[in-house]
Amino acid sequence: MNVIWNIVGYLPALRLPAGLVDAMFGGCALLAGICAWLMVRRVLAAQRRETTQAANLFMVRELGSYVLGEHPVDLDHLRATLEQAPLQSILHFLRLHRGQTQALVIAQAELAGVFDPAIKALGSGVASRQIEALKHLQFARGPAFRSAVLRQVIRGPTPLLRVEALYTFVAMGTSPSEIALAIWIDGTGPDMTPRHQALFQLIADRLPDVLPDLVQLVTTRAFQDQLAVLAAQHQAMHHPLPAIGTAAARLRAPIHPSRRVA
Amino acid sequence: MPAPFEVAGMALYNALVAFCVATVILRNGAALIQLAVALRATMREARPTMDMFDLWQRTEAQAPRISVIAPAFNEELSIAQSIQSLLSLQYPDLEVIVVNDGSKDRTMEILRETFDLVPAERAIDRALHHTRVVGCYASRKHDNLLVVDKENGRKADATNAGISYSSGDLICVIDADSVIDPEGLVRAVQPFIEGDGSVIAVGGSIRIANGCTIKGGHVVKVGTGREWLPLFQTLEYFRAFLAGRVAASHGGILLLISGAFGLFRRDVLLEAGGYQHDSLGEDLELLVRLQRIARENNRPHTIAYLPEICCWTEAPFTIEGVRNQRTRWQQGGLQVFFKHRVMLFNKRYGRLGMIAFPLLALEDLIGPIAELLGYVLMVVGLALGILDPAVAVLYFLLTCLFGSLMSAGVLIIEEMQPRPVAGVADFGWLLMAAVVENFGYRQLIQWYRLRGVVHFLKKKTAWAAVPRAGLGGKPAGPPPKGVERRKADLTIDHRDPGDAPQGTPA
Repeated sequence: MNVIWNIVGYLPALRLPAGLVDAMFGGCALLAGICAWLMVRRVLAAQRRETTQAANLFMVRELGSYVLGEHPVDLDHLRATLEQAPLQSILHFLRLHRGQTQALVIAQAELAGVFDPAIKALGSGVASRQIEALKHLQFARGPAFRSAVLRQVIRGPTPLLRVEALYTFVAMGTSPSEIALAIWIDGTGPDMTPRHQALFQLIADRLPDVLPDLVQLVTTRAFQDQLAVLAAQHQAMHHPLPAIGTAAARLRAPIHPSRRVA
Repeated sequence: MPAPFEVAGMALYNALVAFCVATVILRNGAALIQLAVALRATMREARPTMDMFDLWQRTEAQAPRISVIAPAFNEELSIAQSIQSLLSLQYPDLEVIVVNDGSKDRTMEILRETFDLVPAERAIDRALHHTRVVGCYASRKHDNLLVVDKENGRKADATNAGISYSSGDLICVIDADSVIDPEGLVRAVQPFIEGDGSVIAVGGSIRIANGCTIKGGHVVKVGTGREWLPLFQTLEYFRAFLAGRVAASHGGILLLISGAFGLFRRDVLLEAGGYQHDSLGEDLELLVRLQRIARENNRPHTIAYLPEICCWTEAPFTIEGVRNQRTRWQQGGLQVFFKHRVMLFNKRYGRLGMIAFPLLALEDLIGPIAELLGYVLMVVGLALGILDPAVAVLYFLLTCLFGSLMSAGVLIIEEMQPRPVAGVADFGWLLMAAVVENFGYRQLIQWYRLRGVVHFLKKKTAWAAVPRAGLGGKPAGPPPKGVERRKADLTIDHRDPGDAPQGTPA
């Protein structure tokens, strides 16, 4: 054992900056601070959740009373209610209602600035936030909102964003010309994604007069090695409007896989 | 004058200390970057919608058919409830395939009785490698339920059988005894619908169900419980799934989608030959192989990870269970690393080769050895007086204090999730666990990982059981006689080595 201690006595020791112990205490203090901060945040978040739930219930009660006609519409009061309500709750309400009620709430929601965060998010440059914003803007009707969405249709940075913007633009109730629609669809890139199919379905539902031309466009694109379009074609063929079904059936033959092989 | 051997001994000691400190610094650096990236991503990305109406609206028309494959082995106590839970998943076009992997208990009888099974013919377009199928059954009660009864293999083998019999465009692999949120599939399919067609797999976060209230096969109340062992594991899972995986996904270096829940394109799985039998980390191996194949064929591919998809699983509640689990994870990680070692620092594999694989080596190969060695060297050095106490303090700062700070940091991300842990009290316990776990548990886990390294070097492939109490308050009870421990090629525990946290120090 003595030998070992003798050896140890000769050995050089590692040296480190003297402030290391201070760093340890500083680190511990930092940890304690973070923990305390997190706890406070947690308590506040719990309170916020309760407030949101209360605002949600309040909105459902208030809007419900308008829908049921329990008392006349007080626009100022409705607007004030919408200002306080969580966005998700308003959107949920809008999805569940149609006609005059929806139009009334949308108009007041626009005035209350409910959709303003979505417009801001459109300019964020983060794809997921932009797509989420477009989902929200489907319910907006004002010209400013339409312009913002149209900007993304034309100048959106990616094909995915452009197709989503075009979907939103049509869902907003717009009626673009056939040529404009064709140009915009062409701008959504050569790949046929499920969102394209959703877009064609929406166009078939909302703009039935446009679909034959759309089918023509789809056909042209189908020759660009995109056979997934057959699903959209199939949907179009079974569309309740005979004109669309006929157009789709007429144009189905050229893009059938067997024709490609031949 | 000291003798030459004294000088050499001291030089070796100093070199080892420097190696340990440098390794810990590297691991911490990687963990810090992961936390920062995950935090930024969580803050910048849109909060996932909780509105099912919206999710359905976007999914319903374009929803590809999904085959949910649930391998089951000796799960008589929970199988009926688990399958009911899977059948109640909200998705427009769903097929559930239960693969009874040669259970020795009443699993098959219970399936037969509960779901009124009758023999069925099912054509398979392409069979993957699996053991002999004894029978195939359809349910009279549920059109979309298929039960495949086969001889025992491992989870990988059972999953391969399920894939062979599936008819969906997408394959969802899920542990039969895990619980997924009802909207999990609708969420998981979004990247396939919204993407540009390059998405080949989607993963979700695995969360600890201990302390949660489960009714009717669904988590109705989230909680953490008050037992230390599950609390520590909850933090580990948070670090892995809310920081490590999120960061890896954003960096395009995700190597692992947990076998407890993953959604894959069927054609890609078939092309790759399905899961591999001889791996203890079959899900890690699968994802590495899928990406390797895609890279070698210059095909665009994306692996998506959505932390908002929650799959709830029960953590081992005994120290033996944790030991067996971590040992196996470590073995699995090393197997995959050495099998695909050609990818290491290979530019052909892009970020996977240049970043992900070196990180895997740092975490699974060097990390546990270096950290444990460091503790030993510190204690020995201080006892012999050959170590400046400042070095020991530095090591303490780098391991324990940094670990606590990381856990606290990941709890910030956890709070931003759509379903954070319930209540302020639970959060307080987690914060306490974030500190306490670094004094004993952390070192123990490193020891178990080192044990995994030793098992790997000895080529041990026996799987030891991980005892569990069962979800939903149903104790699983002891396994049937004779199945507690078997030879390597038999299934003992379907729990997934792929739950292994990736990319963050345990």
